[in-house]
Amino acid sequence: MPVIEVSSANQYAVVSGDTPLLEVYAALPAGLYPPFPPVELPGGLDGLIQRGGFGQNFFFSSEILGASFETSSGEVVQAGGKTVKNVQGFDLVRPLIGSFGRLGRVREATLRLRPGLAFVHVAREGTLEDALLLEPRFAWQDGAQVHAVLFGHARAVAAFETAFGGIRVSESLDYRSRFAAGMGVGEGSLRDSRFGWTDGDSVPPMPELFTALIGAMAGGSRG
Amino acid sequence: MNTLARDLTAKIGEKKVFSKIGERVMYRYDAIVVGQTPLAVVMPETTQDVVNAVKMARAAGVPIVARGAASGLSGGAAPSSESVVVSFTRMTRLEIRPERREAWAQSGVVTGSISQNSRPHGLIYPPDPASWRTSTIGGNLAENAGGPMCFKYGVTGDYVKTLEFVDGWGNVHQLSRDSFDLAGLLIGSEGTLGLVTSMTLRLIAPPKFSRTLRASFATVGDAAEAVSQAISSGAVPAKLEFMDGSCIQAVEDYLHLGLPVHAGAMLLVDTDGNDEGTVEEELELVEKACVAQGGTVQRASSAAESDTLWQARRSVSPALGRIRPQRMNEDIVVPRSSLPQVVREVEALGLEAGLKLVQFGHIGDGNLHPNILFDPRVESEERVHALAFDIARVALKHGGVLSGEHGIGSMKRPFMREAVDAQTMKVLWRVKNALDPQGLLNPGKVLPDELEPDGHKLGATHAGH
Repeated sequence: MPVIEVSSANQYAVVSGDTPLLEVYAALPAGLYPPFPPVELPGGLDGLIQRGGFGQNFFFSSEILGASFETSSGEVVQAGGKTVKNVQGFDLVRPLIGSFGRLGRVREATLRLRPGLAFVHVAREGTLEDALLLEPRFAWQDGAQVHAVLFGHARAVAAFETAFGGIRVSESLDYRSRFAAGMGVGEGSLRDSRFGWTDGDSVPPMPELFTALIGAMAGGSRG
Repeated sequence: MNTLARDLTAKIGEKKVFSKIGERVMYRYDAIVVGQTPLAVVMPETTQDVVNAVKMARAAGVPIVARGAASGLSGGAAPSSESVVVSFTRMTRLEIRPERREAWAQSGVVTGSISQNSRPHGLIYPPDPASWRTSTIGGNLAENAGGPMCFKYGVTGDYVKTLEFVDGWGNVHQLSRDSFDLAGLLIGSEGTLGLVTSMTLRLIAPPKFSRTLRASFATVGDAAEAVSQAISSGAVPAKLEFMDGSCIQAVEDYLHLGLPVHAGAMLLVDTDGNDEGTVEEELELVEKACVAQGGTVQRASSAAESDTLWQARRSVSPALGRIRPQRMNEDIVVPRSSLPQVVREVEALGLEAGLKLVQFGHIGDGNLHPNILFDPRVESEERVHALAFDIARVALKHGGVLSGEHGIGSMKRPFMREAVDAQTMKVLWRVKNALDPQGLLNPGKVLPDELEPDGHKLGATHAGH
């Protein structure tokens, strides 16, 4: 039971870290969408959060309302909660997102769900930069092809599809086989507005003080 | 003049350091708490001034408290002990970069001036805390401020692309956010982990169209149910504000706007967007949901009418100020579906305590502001604090949090032990100790004392107990 709780009234879903992304899609009621496109990527939800999302054209971190994670020393930390606004103590959710496994493993996360009366996933030849100008919810480059996803009000979605052109993608995509050694950051077949994604375990450069945070999570010298 | 004030003056400059008691005493408060008079107040004009202040205070072992416009509502900027206050109100450089849809701002820039300067370029900065006319962007980052626009557009932290901060050792760091988001930790940390000196902020094109409606209901439950239905039907209103019966009455007594004073609750709703038809449809979805819950709906037919409807919400603060000289402004957040129950429980607690209590807030994201109105000359502040604690407990019981946008500061610190589990609290303290081992950055804020009253370290095993 990897999708643990779905609250339509509050528009959130509590999902275990090992849940494949397409299983989350399958478990959601019609008209509510998670903060990732309908594609399967390595590592399920934990992997997605560790990499800081995929393909988003919005601030991904604000859509992860909370997460419990297990640090390298086996401690379980509860970050954030189930509400959109939360300034109760230091925000550990933000630094966890995009931390490439350095702070711990996501056991469970609460995703904000967004409503959409219509949904479209389209693809065509072109560049990511052009696609982003049309303000899709998600967009990514796959070789010569650019993919874009939008949900929302019917008219807005229809206008977007007309402007973008291309063909509808109706089957779910699974990119996992391209990343046998992990989904690393670098020149590769996939690219979104943040990074190129390549087979391997390369990560972006880390700010100096982030290591202090890693130490604090792992137990620190002052534990 | 004390030694530290003298040394700071010599290093940073006479015009940038306040050392006379008459000047310093003005920097011990925020909008709600009076703290300790600082030993010196530094008015930096550059990041280097901040670096110098931090290094000298650190060498003297004196705490450092960052301060913006001091409009905060949780005591975050009020020094808890003798400190050096670093007041950012002179660091006001602002550059709008329309081609990149961003603004670069120093921490002392007044929040409202960002949108004001962006508008000529067809852009705005959406987060809109009630204090936007006076608050500084640095203070907004420190508290991760919200506002009515946040349900649709997000809170302060969602708009920060990069930031520069000075750590507790006086080193300057530049942070971006695509990965290893240390900036995300700094935002909302109330100056307890570092001092943010500048940032780049994302700007957006303002929506071309907006529509407003007001709806009144017999009960708070009906209003909350209407909100829930409207949102489930696919509406994402730009603003979704709520006032309870006592709050409606208070504003009506103040302004005589002809508000529905017999109603138990009132909603004010804006929808917006670039497609007029969709904006209308969205408002219709909200109207339908309100009517289905027995609400009486009034739609604004012009921008002027919309402004009149919003006047009621904008006037809440002055209206409440007339009832009692002081108020304690709570800031709880709960999952939307538990709002009716939470509002009822909070109302009952107010009655039980015999204190005047009104409720309003940003109902779309479950952010309620129960306000306890009191007169400290005749009403016990202890009872006020006890009631505030009980209200916080209601939020926690319903899976919510103590604060959505005002921060913990010193005022909600006593509630933190109940809100955060011991294991997580231990980790929060380790984070604090890693970035500020000597505890010099705004001590006495956010986290409860690391040592429990019996001398044990927080979260440590109580062997033999």
